[in-house]
Amino acid sequence: MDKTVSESAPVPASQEPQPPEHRLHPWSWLFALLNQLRAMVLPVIALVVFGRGDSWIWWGLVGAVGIAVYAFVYSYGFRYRIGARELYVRSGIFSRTERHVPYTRIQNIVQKRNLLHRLFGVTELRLESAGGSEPEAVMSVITLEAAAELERVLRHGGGEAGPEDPQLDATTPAWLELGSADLIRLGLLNDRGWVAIGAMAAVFWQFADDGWNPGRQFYRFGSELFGSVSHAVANWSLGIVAGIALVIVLWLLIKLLSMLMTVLSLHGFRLSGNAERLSTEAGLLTRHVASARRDKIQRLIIGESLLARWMGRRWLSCEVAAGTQAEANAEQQAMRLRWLAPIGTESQIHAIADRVVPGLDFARLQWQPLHPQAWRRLFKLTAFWWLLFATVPSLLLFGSWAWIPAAGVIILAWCYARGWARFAAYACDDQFIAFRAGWLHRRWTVAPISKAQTVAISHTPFDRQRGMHTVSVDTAGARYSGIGLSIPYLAIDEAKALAERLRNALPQERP
Amino acid sequence: MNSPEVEPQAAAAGPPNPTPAPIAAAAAVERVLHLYPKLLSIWFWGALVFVVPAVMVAFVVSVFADHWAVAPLAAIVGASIIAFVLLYGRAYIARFRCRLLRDGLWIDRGVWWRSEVFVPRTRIQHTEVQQGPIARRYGVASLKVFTAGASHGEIEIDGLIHGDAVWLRDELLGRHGQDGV
Repeated sequence: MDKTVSESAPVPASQEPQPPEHRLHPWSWLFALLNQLRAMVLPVIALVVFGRGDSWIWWGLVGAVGIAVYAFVYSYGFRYRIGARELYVRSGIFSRTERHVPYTRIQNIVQKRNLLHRLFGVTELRLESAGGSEPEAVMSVITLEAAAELERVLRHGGGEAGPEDPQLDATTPAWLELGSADLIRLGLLNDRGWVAIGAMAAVFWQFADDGWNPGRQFYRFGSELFGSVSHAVANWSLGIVAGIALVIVLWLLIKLLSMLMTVLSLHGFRLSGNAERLSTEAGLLTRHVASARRDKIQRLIIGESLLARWMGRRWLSCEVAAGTQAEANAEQQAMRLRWLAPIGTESQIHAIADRVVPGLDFARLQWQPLHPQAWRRLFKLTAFWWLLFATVPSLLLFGSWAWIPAAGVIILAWCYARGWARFAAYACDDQFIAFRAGWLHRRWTVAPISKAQTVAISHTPFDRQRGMHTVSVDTAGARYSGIGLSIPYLAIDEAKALAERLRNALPQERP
Repeated sequence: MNSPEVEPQAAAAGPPNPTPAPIAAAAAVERVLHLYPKLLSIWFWGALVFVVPAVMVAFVVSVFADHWAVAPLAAIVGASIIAFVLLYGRAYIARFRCRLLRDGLWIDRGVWWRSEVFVPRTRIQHTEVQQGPIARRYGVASLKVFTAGASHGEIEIDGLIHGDAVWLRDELLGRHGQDGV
């Protein structure tokens, strides 16, 4: 609870009259309580269901009452004050924390509203800065009006904002809105269903009785199923058909789940923006509102799977500078501004990318191919690793026939390397650096050069042997470590020229 | 052991390297920093501390367990480890360059896997000088440079002379206004 207090000097009290203190919404304690209890709910249910002695329930009740008192006192004691240049937040019961958060530090504003929030007309507001793993302030919960007021102050109090910026809310014309057809299509394309299955399996595992091993049960279930199938159909060709049918049914089930998950998380997706900020809103039951400063967008990432390519669709996401990735927890990351367009046609995606990042003209990027021998390097590398991992299992499974899967692996590696290298290219102009690569799953990454944190050029002995170098540009808040803007297999002279160009395009002085 | 002498600025600035370099050809190099030359002896003694007891254990095993082949094998492996540390370490130290430029830091290092990283001054969030107990005895330190970047967010330069590391840290500080992201 003890956080470091204050960065810049607080506004001297003598010069300005203290702005009024605000409190949280009177029902905040309920949300705090539920937040605390959420972690306990499933175990309690499990205890009740599996009936392991009544005394546990009483102990649980005592704990719940304690948490309720804590939640009430904490929420009651929480205060914030909207100053001229900074937000002042006071919280805590035993060790009281006072934070001064300068408005300029706040980069991301995230709102979460689940059904209960919506019932009470309130919202949970998080303010995040670029550094640190914790949000600068979490207001759980305040009224929608108070949240809107805070967002307005944060926008204008930052000093850099044009005061005429219209408010970003439901009345702002949207840059992109997704209908149900888009969501169904997206559900078909993605594999969010696996997440649901994973979560179910986890819950299953957690509450399984000690003597009851879910893995064994699953195995038994599977073998019974296959056993009955194989007994019923002595004919092995029918068995294969049954197997294929099972796979198809499973696939359909996952796709159905994916659609459900997509609708849950992205129903009513809406992207809007003004001169300074971007904002997205989505969710069927729980609405997430995320907003970030446009000038803090570090990279744009466009993705396209094979299925999406056949359907003529791509997706566009962005990375904003916030927290250190390793430390930020999954929930925080999930709530942050990420999807700019979960699905869209090529021209739609390009239009949104251009609109989000001023100065970008995605369709006009001058793509340069990598070294002509790039595919050879990739082929050797891929074939080596795949063979290494495939050798032992295929020898065990197929014995002397192991050369067949080995040949398959080599052919696959060849296809991958050729496809990857044919598509791979980079683009660099005065403002932007971009890289694209991929075979079945393609990805484009674009970053303003002014956002580069470091520029590096590196080479292995194999690189030097073939006259190649790798140029990497590091940006803040990269979710996918490594592969983002690391451009491999460049001819040495080209790599050096590119690194030099990037270096010179970096900002010399802080803005 | 060698008598460790603490000479803060002894091997500090060699002559500024005039060879045109890829990342920083045009930029004015303010100072070139090398690694502490005695780093090699630190690494040598460090390797010896691990290798010698292991080889001795192998000898004991070979005598008592009657596997005569173990002892020479262990000796060969141990000697090659030491030789590797000496050769690789010498090449690493010889190749290592850390240049302070007008607009940033440029680190060029590696023997087989080589990399040149350019860190603009404007991107440095903070710096850290660290010294372990052995490093303190030799007057060696490591400098960590932190940026907001995701994959090169923490860049460590190990084996600088303590005085150099502190000097570099002080040089890199300052001129800060905003949060640099």
